[in-house]
Amino acid sequence: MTATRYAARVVALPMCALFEARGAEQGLRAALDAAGFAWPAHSGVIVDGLHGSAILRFGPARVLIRADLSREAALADRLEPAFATVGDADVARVSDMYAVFQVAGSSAEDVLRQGAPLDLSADRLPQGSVVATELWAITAFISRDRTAEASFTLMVERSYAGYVADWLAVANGGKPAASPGVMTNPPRPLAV
Amino acid sequence: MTAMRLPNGGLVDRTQPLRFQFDGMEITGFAGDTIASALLANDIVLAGRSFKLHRPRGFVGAGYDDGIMVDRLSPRPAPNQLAAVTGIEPGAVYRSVSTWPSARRDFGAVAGFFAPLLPAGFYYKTFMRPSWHLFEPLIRAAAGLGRVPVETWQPTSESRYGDCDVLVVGAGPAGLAAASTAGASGARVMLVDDQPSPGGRLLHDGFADQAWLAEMLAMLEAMPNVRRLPQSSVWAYHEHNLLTVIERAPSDARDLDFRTWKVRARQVVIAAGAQERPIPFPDSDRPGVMLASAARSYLHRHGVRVGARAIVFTNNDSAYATALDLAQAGSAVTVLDARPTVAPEVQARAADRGIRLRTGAQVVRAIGRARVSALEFETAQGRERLDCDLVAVSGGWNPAFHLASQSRQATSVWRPDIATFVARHASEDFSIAGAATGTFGTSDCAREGAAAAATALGRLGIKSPAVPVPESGDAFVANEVHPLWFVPRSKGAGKVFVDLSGDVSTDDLGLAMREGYDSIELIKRYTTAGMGVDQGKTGNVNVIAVVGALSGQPADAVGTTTFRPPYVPVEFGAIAGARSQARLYPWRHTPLTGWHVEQGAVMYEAGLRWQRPGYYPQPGEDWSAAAQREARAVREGVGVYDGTPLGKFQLKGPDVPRLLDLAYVGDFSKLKPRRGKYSVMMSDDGLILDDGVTFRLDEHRWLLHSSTGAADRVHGHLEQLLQVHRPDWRVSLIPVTTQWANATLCGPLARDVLAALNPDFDISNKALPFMGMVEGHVAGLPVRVFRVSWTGELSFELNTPARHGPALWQAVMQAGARFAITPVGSEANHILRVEAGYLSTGHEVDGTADVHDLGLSGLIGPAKTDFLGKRSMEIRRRADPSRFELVGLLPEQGQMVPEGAPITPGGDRIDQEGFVSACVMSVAQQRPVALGLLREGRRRMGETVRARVRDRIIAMQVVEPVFHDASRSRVKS
Amino acid sequence: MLLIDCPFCGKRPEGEFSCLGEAVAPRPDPAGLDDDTWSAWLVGRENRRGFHSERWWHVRSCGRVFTITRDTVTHAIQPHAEAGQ
Repeated sequence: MTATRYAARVVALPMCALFEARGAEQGLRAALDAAGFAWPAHSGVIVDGLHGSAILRFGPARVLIRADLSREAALADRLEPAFATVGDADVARVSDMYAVFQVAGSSAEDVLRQGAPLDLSADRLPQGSVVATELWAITAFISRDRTAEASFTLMVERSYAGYVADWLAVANGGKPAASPGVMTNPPRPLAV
Repeated sequence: MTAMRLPNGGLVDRTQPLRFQFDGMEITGFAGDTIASALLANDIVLAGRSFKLHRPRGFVGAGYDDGIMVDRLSPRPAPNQLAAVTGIEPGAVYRSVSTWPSARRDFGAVAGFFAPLLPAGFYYKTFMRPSWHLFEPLIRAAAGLGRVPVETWQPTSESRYGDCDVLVVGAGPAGLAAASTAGASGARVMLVDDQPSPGGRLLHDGFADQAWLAEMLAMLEAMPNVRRLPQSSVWAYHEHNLLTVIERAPSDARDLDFRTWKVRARQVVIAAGAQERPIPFPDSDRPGVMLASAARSYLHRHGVRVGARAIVFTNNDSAYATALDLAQAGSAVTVLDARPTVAPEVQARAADRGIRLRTGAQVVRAIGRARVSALEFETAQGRERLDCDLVAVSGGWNPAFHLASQSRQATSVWRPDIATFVARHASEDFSIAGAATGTFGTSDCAREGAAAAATALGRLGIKSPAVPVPESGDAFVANEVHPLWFVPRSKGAGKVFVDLSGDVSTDDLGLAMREGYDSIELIKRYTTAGMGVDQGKTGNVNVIAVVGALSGQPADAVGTTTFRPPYVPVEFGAIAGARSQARLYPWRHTPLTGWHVEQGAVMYEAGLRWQRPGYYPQPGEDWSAAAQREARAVREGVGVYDGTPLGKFQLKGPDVPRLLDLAYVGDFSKLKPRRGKYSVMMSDDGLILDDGVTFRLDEHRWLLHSSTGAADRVHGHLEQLLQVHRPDWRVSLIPVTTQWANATLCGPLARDVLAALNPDFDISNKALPFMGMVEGHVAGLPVRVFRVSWTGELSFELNTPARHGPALWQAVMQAGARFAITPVGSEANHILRVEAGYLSTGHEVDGTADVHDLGLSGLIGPAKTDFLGKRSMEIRRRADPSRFELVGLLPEQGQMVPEGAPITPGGDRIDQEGFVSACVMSVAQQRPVALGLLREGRRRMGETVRARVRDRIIAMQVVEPVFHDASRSRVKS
Repeated sequence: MLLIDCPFCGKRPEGEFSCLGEAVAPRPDPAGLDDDTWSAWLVGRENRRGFHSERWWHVRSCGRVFTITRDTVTHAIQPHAEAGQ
């Protein structure tokens, strides 16, 4: 297998600053408002926030705030005190939890659809929107970038980063990525 | 030469001859030939043997309805390739299946003489005593299908999802009209067809309507919104319009052998056509007897005339097309029509071509063994014999409603005019068009296809444009069928095989019914009718009708069997796609995996797909020696392990104490900030779900730890509790497991190592006691430290944001070097926790234990009137207070006992009174120690109980379930 | 793989969800119940052929638990009474 089946480019991006807020809608909105962040009018449509951040809302009770890692402290200084004022919503720093990949090129969708049951076409996932969905049996946040060329940003739990990198490489028609861990079977029970 | 390639005609490329081998013979075909057509062009009609009785068999169909398979030995060795759909390749080597040494000379054919000994249900009856396993190898060798070649081929496959507005199944007249209609509307369309080029029956029928076909192809080619999948089959129709497609040799990816599509279609148009069915008669399975449509297909697609002296046996008009075309190609043709009268214009056209016609005719039997050489038949004039080298049979057509049936939204109904089942449905998810509904004329099919697409588009709110349909009429269409299901076996005649793939005859069906199998579903399983390679495509309706005839009921009263995927044989590799090795399961790694692997750790799964170091062997050590050394280091000095995967949930809100009090057996309301509490979580069925330590980070925020393997389960449990059962409670819950990387220091020297890490906080036992916590820095890195122990030793769990994990670990190893700090894997951890008598989910917490059983009654909040599981536990204990209770076990001979070994009274082979949940070689006691659950075990301290391990009995003394530091003074030091 | 209609995220593949089973009533206070009533709540299920109510947890996306009405034979799912957002 030398040729690449598809022409997608897969890039592992650096860690970004990420905060997850959950709670009752009212408390969540109030805390975000107090911190100076808009409440996205539509679930799944990415909205710009302070410190160059992006606000990703999933339903009434879950919001992610994503920015460059250099803005992490500034974001924390805004978000954490604001959430301390409400009883039924909370924010957690989760930057370290997620690995970020970019998959770009005209066949990017062909690569991702090998793991994603959800329709990712531009009709269903327009530029600047995001879905939290299944990708190769794990959870992934997939957004379509605001670029002329088809391009997706995905976030997966960092513990799965090696697994996802391997899949992306193979789905693109290339060689498997180096696997970070050696897998063997556990030792057999002692002979009796 | 009686079967031969005509000098011209067909869709093969005569400029490209291809040579290959079949059973050692050198064969030449042309590009565009299938294995079947190339063999027939070379007058090879005997292509295999039936799999049970080894009867000589030839090609019956010209597509997926034919069951003849060959093993491909080269290239890409693979067994059981369908000969009628697999294209030939230059230099390929094929071998017939179920034959030895070859299809022509098959020693297994002797089985045919024993046919009376191989009746329906033969295996069930004959080989059950003393044991099926005794006979299995012999039977597998004699029966079965192809042999797996020694060198197997690993196909490159891809599996992917897809979406479309309209999925059209079949690219015949109906499918093409449907796809072009839907495509012209701008909708996203997929058109799936099993042949290399579209056209369906238009390819087999000769040259009518070719202009329309070309026009359709040009239209579709110009539509970027239409994805055409040739050489592809829709093989499953799942719920909510998810259809599975196998695409063979995808043209857009040359390195792929297969691509599996899992397509979510908003609408489906099933235009899968119809399959001709035979009229089984005695010995009608002889090579040279085939479906009339197949003879015509070989003629027009491959330029192969399959017989020089042909008899066409039919009960409907459609076979006359075959008769005329064979006559045109130079064969001498006689038509035996079972109907008493035939329409005058049909008679006239047959007569024009010099075809002899006998009406009211019924075949008595076929003559010839390796190839049909004559037929005996009867008419009003009496019995006659007629020599032939080809019998082309048509018993009518069966619409392919398999996919509709798989959707579970359609039932089958009987259409008396065409004497077969069609699908009836009221689904808004799909439409059926063309021959698949029992409509057989080309124009009618195309019109129906266009209309079906319009219906589909209408359901999606899309306007449908008009597309051209062909106006040509078909001369011979099976619009009226005179039912003739089979010709019964007359005296002296051979068997009547109804299902060729399964070798099932009318005798077998009759026997099954005499033995009391009265439902078609049971008869199918007992006789294997419809369970062969063709999955009953050709024979199924005949089987149903034969059962009806033998039981004196009409076919529609017998009913159909349930259709299940796959519709065509599918390679397992195609289904698996690229899912293998590291991509088999979503393995998880901590940020420290790299370090572990560098240190030579043996990694394997330890709960919820986490890959963790099992042990770090040093030169010369096996796993046991390594685990012993690591465990000893923790008991005597200091060890460190990677506790990253432990489940973590951040809770906040005024009602968190109420939530914890409900979810756990313990009392959390009074827990002070910066303190933790160990407790057990039960589900409301009164059984333990998980255990763990929850810390109160400050007045309002808490951190709940679940065990590694239970993290997802606990998350769902708590969300359900909050959202369904206590929606008014103000609690927010955020999973934060992998935000943190962990290094857990454990052992008497743990505090010394921590001190060497330059903490900016007080680490004395007073400032940071057992179940205490602190936030600060060590080695300049931010940490959250918990004093929890799962080893029975003084422990500090150092947690840092995952990005600092490797740095923290390096610092720990550096600071710990002068204390000989030892990295500890999960095997040593297991030894330590068993010695300390700590519980493990999956071992002692096995889904049958409650909190009292495990000796944890003291954890229950004394004043609590309710918590999850309390009521059910009380009901269960009231009904039967005799429970399996946690005990320690000391094997009396000092031997290891396998985990899970049953404990039975006296070690006898009777119901167990407990089991061994864990057994380790103790480093503290230098002997094997075990934990187990034993009926009323707490009252049986000092007793000897017996575990049975196969034929051995292991005596064990019942002791307290703790083998090290029962006072817990070390963890609190 | 079903398509589950989440009131907040729309129709999504089943793999995004966790099924929580038949939609039982919120947990009663066991103190006021006799054993049979408690047991009926705990394990009694209608297991109906045809339309029944069941709960799904949209774990991979919005994290909400909601109830749908699904036909256990055809899998047809009735639309939500009120649209989500």
